[in-house]
Amino acid sequence: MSVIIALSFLLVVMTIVLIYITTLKLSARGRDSTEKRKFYACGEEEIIAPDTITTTFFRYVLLFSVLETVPLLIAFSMPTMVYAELMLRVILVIYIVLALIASYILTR
Amino acid sequence: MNTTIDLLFKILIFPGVLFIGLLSLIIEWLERKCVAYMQSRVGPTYTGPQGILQPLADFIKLLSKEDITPRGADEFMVDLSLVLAVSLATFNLFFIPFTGQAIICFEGDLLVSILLASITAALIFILGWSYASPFTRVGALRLVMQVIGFDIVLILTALIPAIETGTLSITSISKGIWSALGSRPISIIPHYIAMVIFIIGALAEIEGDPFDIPEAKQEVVAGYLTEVSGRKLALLHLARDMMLFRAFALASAIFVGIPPKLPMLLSEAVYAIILLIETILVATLGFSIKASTSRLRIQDLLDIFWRKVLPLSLLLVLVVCMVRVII
Repeated sequence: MSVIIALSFLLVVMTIVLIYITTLKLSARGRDSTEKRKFYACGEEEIIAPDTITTTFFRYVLLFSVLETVPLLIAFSMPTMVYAELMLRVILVIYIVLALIASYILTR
Repeated sequence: MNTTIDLLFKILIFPGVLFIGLLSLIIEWLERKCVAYMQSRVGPTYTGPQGILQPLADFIKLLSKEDITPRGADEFMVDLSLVLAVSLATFNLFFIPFTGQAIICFEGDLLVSILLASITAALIFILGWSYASPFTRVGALRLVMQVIGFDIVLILTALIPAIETGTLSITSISKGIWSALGSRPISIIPHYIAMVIFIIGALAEIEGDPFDIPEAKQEVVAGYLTEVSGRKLALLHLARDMMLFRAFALASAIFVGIPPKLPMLLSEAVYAIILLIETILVATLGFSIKASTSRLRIQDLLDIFWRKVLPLSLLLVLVVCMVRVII
């Protein structure tokens, strides 16, 4: 089952990446200009949202994801000890992905 | 070799990526038709019979449009979070037993599926935040507030059929729910109340009315989607359709299930048709709620979910636990 999970996820990601890259080559391309790359501002002065609260808020998101879901998963997987190892592996992988994204954002 | 080809067919074609993608677009068409019918409009009509190909045409059109990323946006994080969010939305449908047996099926997959939906929302938050535009950031923050509001309710209500059947596997629940309710008929009332709450939670998950707070057009333009264009918007719309399809398919799998004496006789295709009909019925109920309500404020959403729906869900869990212990 672990192989099927890993293979399925890998194939799905590869398919999406393939669509993403292929459509970049196929989609329309206009001339680049400063105006085009401005944020939507509805005729007002362009405002770039401040970065100062990024990490603070991300901690909340991370904590919510970890605190709300991971203990629940571990708690509910415990009675089914046969499958607990597999569950913990899945949780560990997700945990590592979240931690990597978090550390990338936090250390920039 | 045959096993590998069979597995690849399942993952990529049926009931995998292609089947899921096409059905998600059909569910979007159904949504547009249902909402149009309730608002005395006709909905999509031109592309395909009854306009059924309109979502596909929209998807292709968006894919071919220019993809513009505004200056100041973190392009790497936008690409990473978008690809992961779409992949997780697709992957999450592998837990639904369309052919009687899900592609990925193990004890505890129900909770993993709900966890993956939360992570998808977290990735969409990162996407909105990475654009650094006030509208996308406000939309992303609203999305997180919304997730904090409905997610625990969704978990609790999903646990009710799990408690009734004594398993945390979606496939086992869908096969066992009829006999579980048959042996304890008193559970039917809390079971169907939980189903309605789950559908309302699912509407919040997919940001359908009255929970379209993160992309409220009159307030934040299009929320976290404001700066998204071209292929990114196409893929995000597809991901949203997949989340919608998954939410209603999960609701029909765990709350409605498959009659116990049928599976022995059924082929995979007939099994898939039964689950799809159930999904369409559940989705129609969801779309009716969506079309007949107006947007809530974020405070009202948190108030309703935390102070009213959450205690009710807890009460339902307690009732089902007591029935399970007594009978």
